[in-house]
Amino acid sequence: MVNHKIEVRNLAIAYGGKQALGNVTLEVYENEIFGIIGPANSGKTSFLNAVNRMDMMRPNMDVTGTIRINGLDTRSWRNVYDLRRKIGVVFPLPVGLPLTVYDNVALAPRMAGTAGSKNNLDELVERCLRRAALWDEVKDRLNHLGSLLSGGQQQRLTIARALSQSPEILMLDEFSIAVDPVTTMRIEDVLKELKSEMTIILVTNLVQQANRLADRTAFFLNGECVEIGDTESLFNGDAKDARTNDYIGGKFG
Amino acid sequence: MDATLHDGGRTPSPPDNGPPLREYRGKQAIASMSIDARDKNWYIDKGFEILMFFCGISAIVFVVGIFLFVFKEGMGFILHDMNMGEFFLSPKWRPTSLNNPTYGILAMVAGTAAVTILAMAICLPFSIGAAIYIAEFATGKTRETLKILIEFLAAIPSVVWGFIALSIMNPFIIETFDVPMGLGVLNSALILALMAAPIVTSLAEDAFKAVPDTYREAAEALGATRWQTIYKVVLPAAKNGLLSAGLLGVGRGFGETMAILMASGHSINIPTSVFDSFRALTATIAAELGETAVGSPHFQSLFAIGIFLFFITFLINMTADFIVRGVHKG
Repeated sequence: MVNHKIEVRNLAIAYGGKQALGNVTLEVYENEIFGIIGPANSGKTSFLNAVNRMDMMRPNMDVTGTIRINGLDTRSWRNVYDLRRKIGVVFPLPVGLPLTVYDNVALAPRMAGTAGSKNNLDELVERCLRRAALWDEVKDRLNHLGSLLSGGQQQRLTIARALSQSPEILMLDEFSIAVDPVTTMRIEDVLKELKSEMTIILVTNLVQQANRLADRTAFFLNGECVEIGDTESLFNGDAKDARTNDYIGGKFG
Repeated sequence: MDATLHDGGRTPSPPDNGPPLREYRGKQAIASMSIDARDKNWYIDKGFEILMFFCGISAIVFVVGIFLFVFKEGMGFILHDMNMGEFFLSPKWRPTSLNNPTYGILAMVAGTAAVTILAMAICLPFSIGAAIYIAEFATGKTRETLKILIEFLAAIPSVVWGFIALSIMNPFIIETFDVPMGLGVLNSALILALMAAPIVTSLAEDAFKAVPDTYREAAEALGATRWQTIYKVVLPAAKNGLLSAGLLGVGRGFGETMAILMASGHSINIPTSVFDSFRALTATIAAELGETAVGSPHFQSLFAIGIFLFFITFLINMTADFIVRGVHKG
């Protein structure tokens, strides 16, 4: 039996009374890549924000329903920071913080107080950058500002930063929007490797990217979770809902 | 292969027996060129360009003009009457002495520097704290009310601050600390801190507001607490803006005249405690310029002080510039 890393029950999200996502019930298994596809404005990002409770930062965002991580309701998590430390997030547009490349990666361990000795931290930074396939490009300029790297490099820096506290879950929100195709492929290879260590939620508006990476895929449309299924069967035309077939087949979206 | 295949059929093929392709395209371009209002109004465009150029260089013209004027007046003193060692190293400012006038500004420099440093030490923590609260925590009505109140604070004229220094702070300091006189470094520094606070606060708040929200979200997504987000990410990102806010405060400290004239006690000595009276460089110019004969060494020496103030400001700005560039090089 597969382990349910995340269980979502009847999740609904509204912004100031206007529903953005409704009635989502799904499970994400441990060590899988769970793809979420769907056109813009279908609630994909809202879903991610609800999982790591970023709704706390947005006063007009109402979340109802339950999300359990490791069987624990995220709302019962007294320390929301602890929850977020378990979840790495990669945003659509790369966010290289205005710190040096080194400090970008070392930020989380330093804040957590687990940085340890200089050697330890050096090792950790190098390991994270290597795993994000960025080390070779930045090893000679770890002291340069992270926000001055190219877009694709910044996105990999964001991934390295997310990896720096060994998250159990990695959420990527349309990470390839501002990244060239070659870098996208490199990041996709990285994700395939990371799968063995963590659970990955991949939100993408590239249908083929979900096809390449995801074990299972959910299709969101206009704030509704239309269908969830094995990526293979969805893409082989076995989708139950006609809209899924149309979207995957390129008839709209 | 047909030409239309190469560019997707966008360029029509030349007709048979027609002119060669290049010439044909040229004619096509002229025929299809449309002249709209933007092309006809080019002279307005040019006019605005020239106008903007003059606006742009007017700042330079004014600064150079003021500098030349002050320099012209001060130069006579610097060349004839000034003794460099005495000017900078002597605390004795006795320009009106009949037998042996001395022009030493050390006491005034020390007093001005002391009060500026103390004022900034009081002002910066409060202002940056206030800016953090307004930019990062306060919402809705609290935020708006605070901003209006702070702007109101900035609108109080400096002579009113001087009045407050004389009539409220003075007896307050005398009673609280049991000292004979309340006018001096502490009084001036408190007044100066209050005067600089609104500007420093609102500049610092702008600096915080200029930090993109994506930085905050990225930090919070890493599990940073509110305080860690501000301390580790927002503050470094706003560093340049905060620096310029602080330096504006320092500039204010060196440049403020009226309130300091009233709060300092205006006696020439190097302050050794915060209750000592002192005299500011600017206050000296303000108090004495009207009472000297135009062109006399005393008159010109006041302009020499002006030149000195000029250089101090210049130095502060240059320092800020270098620090900001250093930050960029990382």
